Amino acid sequence: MTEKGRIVKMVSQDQEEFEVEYGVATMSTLIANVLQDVSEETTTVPIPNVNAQVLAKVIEYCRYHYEAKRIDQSEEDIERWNKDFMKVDNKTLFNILIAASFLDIADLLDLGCKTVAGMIKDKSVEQIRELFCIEGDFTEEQEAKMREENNWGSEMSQENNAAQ
Amino acid sequence: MLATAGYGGVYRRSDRPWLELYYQNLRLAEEEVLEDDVEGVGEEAEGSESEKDDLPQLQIEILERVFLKLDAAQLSKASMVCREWMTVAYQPHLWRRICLMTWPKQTARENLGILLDRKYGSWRHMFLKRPRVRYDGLYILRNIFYRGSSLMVYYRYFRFYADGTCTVLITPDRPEKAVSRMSKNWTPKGPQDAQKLLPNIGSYHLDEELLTISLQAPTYQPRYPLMKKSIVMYEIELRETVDGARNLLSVARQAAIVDDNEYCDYDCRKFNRPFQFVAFDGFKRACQVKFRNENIIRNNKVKWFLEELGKGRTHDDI
Repeated sequence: MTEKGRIVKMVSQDQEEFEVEYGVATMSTLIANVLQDVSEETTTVPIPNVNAQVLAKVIEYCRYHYEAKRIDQSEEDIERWNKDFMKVDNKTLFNILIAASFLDIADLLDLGCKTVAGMIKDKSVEQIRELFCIEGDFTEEQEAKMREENNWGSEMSQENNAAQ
Repeated sequence: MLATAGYGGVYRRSDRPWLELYYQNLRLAEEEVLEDDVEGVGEEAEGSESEKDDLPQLQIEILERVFLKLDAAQLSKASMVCREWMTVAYQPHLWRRICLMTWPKQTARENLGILLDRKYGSWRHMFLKRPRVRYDGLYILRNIFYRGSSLMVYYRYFRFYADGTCTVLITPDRPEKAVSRMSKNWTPKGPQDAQKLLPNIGSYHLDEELLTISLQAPTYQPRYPLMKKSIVMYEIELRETVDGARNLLSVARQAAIVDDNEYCDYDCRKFNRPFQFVAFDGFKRACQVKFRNENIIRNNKVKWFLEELGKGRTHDDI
């Protein structure tokens, strides 16, 4: 069987099956490696830690980029598509990121990281904690010391000091 | 210089007190920021409460990849979030990358040499302590003064690049409007841009021992073809409000060479205050706070001015 017509069946954590063209599936380095190591008759790859909703998104990404490469889609179009693709709620975004890391899809991982970095950019420490559901776990002294050393970029610290 | 053309005109003494403010630098009194002036911060949807409850935690490897996309100010901020983030954000290789981007004129090896020679102790500490000028925003100085009875407002902008070049612009345009033009890649896009004052591309050198920047830039404006060709030179002191912020520039001296031979020293009274740094992150909001819309003074100018004088403040104070 040639690689061209080959179909790979990906099975999500919740046992949903996705039939994907070989070229699309192997955008994941993990799957490419798995398929290389097994016999050609094997077509089913379980993805035990990614649920169907997230896996569908990941496959959507791979399918678009596989096609975009084939038909030589323009950079701007791809960028616009990527931007739209990243317009999801934070939970989905984080899950896509975790899946991309597990499946080893470099471009998707990079896109996701860029998006998360963009979320950090213009937010305060408090806002970041809230956004990422993180509890600040520094003691009061540590917190003060951290601020003294690391808060130089914050507009607020400049305002306060300028007023003094 | 452009906006001050005509400086030196003679006015008769009159009972209009604001005439005395002619060419005096004004400073807005402690400004109370109106909430309406400032746009909302978190305009993007941040998910509902139920989603937040089971937000998955990003593994350290992913966090590290995210941090590789941040600049120094953002990375410092990230380190304050929690211990785990701090551990990831303090990794030397992240700060090495930032140091090499901050001082690209020196090779990685030369930068390491400086780190060791000056005993900074780590890449992160070198970044925090070694003198540098910031590339992630604009340095802005607003001048407000009266010419006759009209209130004149103009801005001076500096933007520095890691490669030793910089852009310099003097314009009445507010920062929000002028910021895109400060990019070296900006080109006029339509007839509306043809009338705008364009930034000049200059070069600068930071003396790390003396904490001074010498900057020079031409002053050519296509809009004024008859303007004399000149090169303006600035001697600038680098200062900061908190350690590591590098957010103030004060011009100690300004001079120009006009038409390749005529040398002139400028009056530096207009630099009696420092340029303030405003980062591109949250730029609009910060500008609305730091440079409150001048129309507010414009509308209240006489009332405001008389009140200030009534308090016994001299022109210089204001």
